[in-house]
Amino acid sequence: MIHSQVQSNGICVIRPEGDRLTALGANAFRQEASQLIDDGSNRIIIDLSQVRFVDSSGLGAIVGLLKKVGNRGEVVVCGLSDAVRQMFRVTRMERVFQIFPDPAAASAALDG
Amino acid sequence: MESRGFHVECGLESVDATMAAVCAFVGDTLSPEGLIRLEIAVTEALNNVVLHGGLPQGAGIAVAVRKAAPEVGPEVGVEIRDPGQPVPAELFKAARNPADIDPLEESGRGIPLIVAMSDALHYESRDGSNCLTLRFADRSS
Repeated sequence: MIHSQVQSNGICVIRPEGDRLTALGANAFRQEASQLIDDGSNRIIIDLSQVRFVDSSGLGAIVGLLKKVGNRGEVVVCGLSDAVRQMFRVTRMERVFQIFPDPAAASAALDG
Repeated sequence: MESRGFHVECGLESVDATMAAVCAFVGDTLSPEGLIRLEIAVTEALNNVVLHGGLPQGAGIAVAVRKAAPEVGPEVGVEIRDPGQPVPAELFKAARNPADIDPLEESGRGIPLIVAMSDALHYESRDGSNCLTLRFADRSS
């Protein structure tokens, strides 16, 4: 359900599989990403550049990861499509997530 | 007016597949912004029925989509009919603005999103059948 890569700076980039992060796959996404946190990743970039659509369940899974990391680290998102950005906007997720255009920009900000 | 019916089996796989077909059908009618709102609202509505509707074994969801004639303007109606447990009508009336929900809540946004993303909403339940009717138009006009 996810592809993950830990960069040399320790930042973990998570890419959900498929172009929709919805109720269908949200639990699997959350479980697999949670395992990465349990394994020690606490600076996380969720790269949504391949995701065309996120529903409230997908959004809940992303929020769940943010809460799981808590103040031990950071979770940021990048690569939001128009539909995903609209979902973030109407739910005011922009208040709790830093949003970047791509993983490189997100990584630079986390390292800054 | 052009209309098309879709059958959604009681499974989340069927919701995603149906939404792809619905969006393809109405993609030439709504603005990109309107299409996004439709996809959010209808996905949430179908997910609600599948996850919480308690559909009888083997039952499905009937979705009827109507596109207004070009001279009428960019308008789409979606009727979602299911034989499951009714949603208390007050849930739609009392739905909060999604922007007012604690952003750290992990659930509870489905109905607020249906209400906020649609331009008109009607829900009724009678004779064992529930019907949610949503309308989408171009908000910029």
